[in-house]
Amino acid sequence: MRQSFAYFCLERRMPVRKKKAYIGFIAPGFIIYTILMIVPIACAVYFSFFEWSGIGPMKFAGLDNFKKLFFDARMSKIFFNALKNNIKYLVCVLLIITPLQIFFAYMIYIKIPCHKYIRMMLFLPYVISTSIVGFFAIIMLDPNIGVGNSIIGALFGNKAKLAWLGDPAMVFKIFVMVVIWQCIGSGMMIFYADMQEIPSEIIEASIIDGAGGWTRFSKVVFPSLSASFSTNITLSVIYALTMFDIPYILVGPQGGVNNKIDFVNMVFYRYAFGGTYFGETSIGFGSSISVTMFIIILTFSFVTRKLLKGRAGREDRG
Amino acid sequence: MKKKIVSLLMCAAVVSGLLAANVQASAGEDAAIEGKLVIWEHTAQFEQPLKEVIAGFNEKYPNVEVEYEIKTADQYYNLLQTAMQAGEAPDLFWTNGTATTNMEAYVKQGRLMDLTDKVDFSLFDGTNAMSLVEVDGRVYASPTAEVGGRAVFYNKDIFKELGIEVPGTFSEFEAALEKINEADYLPISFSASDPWTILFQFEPVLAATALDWLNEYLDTGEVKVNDPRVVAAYEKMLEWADKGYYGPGYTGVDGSGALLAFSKGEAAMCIDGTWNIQTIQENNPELNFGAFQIPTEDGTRPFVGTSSVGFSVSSDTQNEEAALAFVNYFASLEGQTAWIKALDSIPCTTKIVSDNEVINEIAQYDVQTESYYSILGYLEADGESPRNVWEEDQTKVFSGGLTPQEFTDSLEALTK
Repeated sequence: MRQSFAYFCLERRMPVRKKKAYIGFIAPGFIIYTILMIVPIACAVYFSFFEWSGIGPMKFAGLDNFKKLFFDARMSKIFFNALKNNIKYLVCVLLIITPLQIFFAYMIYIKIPCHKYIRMMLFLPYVISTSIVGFFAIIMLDPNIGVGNSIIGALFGNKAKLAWLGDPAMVFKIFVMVVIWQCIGSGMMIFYADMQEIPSEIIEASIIDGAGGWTRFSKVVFPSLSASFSTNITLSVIYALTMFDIPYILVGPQGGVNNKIDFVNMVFYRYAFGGTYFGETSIGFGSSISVTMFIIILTFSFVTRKLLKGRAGREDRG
Repeated sequence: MKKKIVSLLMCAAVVSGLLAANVQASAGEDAAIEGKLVIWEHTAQFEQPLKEVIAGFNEKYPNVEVEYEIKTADQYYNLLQTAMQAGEAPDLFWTNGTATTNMEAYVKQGRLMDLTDKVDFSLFDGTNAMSLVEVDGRVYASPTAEVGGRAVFYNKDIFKELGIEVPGTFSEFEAALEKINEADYLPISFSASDPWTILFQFEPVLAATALDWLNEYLDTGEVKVNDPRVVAAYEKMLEWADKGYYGPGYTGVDGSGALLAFSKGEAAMCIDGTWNIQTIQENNPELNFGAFQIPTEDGTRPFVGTSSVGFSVSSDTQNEEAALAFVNYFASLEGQTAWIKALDSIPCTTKIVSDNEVINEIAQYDVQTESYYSILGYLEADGESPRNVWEEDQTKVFSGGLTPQEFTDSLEALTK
């Protein structure tokens, strides 16, 4: 009798309950996500068609904000310069930062001497707030009172002192170095965690088969990093295209000398919320910038995902 | 006799009772105003003056709790607008008055209380301070009695060591720069990464080299902002940069770094706003420094000074009575004396006398003249503001991104 009742529950009642439970589990997340993510995106799209300072009446402007962004002689120059900087930084992420993260993760994985200390030193800057990173940068790089020029001045005289962040040829490189210093630890830890998942039997087998250090890395370890590679690249692409905090802290909202480290989010900030003291706000125009960037980021993320999926597929088949 | 004594005692009791009641009433008048006020200020330089004013206000209005918040200048309007949208605007807050478009926009949106007949501004009679706080003839903020001027701060010890006197002509000023540079001191601590720090040096240089251009504006209200004399003032600063008068890395120095280098005695001069005197003295109380105006070639000492704004009252304030009491106190002689003395700045009225030696040195000028930035605002046409473009592009003149001619041409294109 008991068996038949349980059977009845399982076969007849449970499927119905499961459906209801399914909705119940999804609903809170769905509602919160919709309120916090979908609604603001929809609002930004809506605002982008209006001339609106953020308070007071909104004046419908059609596509004027987008026209200004793409075709106005002055504004388009500012926007495309910033977008170029975002992409330039993305290239640096792919060609410099990610390989460095994999390199250091591997060094820690193979347990080079002092690997624990190195791991801590590389990860430590990541937990420091960006404001403090900016403060360190000023202490190091201020041409008048910074440590860098004090050393150069003492060694080579005052005439040899550098402008550092004020030098158009140096500012982007310094920015990338600061990012490497602060952010290399996070991606490195993701790669390192993935490396630790590689079964020791595979590593041992490769050693028995006579694989050297480079072959072991390139033929065994690296191909096993597809999960962390996919995560890191996707996050890095999004981070590169939404860059704001470090350049803002280093050079302020104007984008540095000759706008060399001006990024789209900083342009958005200046035009949506106003300059330093001038402060004329334009939420409508700012929204058109954020909508444009939303589409660009979506496209980049989609392409990245497709490429990484294709790579993973080829490896599976291989 | 007894009756007389009793009646005298009774009279005395009645009179003293009346007096006591009167005293209590006047004390009660101030004490009756109560509640909490929140004030926003846009930069840390004004924290101490604000604290002094609040302390004085609380002596008169002990039951009003005043809380203040100091924001950072680059985020100020963003935060203020967000607070307004959320219906959580502070009771009183700073704006730059009519120097920028923000206050006017807030007036149009009905966000500011009309203070015209509610606050006594008689302290500012005979000054042009009120021009910065009026929109369509109505007053929407209290000005301060401070004249925000520009000055050359100089290290007296370095000048003395090199045998340099305060220059009497522009040529003497340039000769002093050369001498300081040859002695391997940094002649001028300058930040070309911040448009505002550039402005506070450019304007005195413009006044010293092209006073006739500024006078033309004052006389006719019409000038070209890309006039060759304006371009020449920028070229003069670039010439000084090429000669090394700003040091090798001046395009990478920020405003605070420039001021700090002067405060630490690493530069002979710093040309900046007069409101920085207190900061320099706080950075290094031991620094022996003075101030002067860059003279013209004929020895005239022009002073570029602008009025400054105190606080507006939010139309949404829940404590109107206390907010108006605060603005009235702020605009009073007592309030402004506290403000000016704590700020160590130049007063626009002779009713306030500074006891700071540096202030008195700055006050030794021959003519007060107009600010280039203000002229950009007065002459701006409809559409994009030349002040916005100025803020966006000013630094490029010094980093090689734009020539002075290209830069001023782009500004001229946006004026009437």
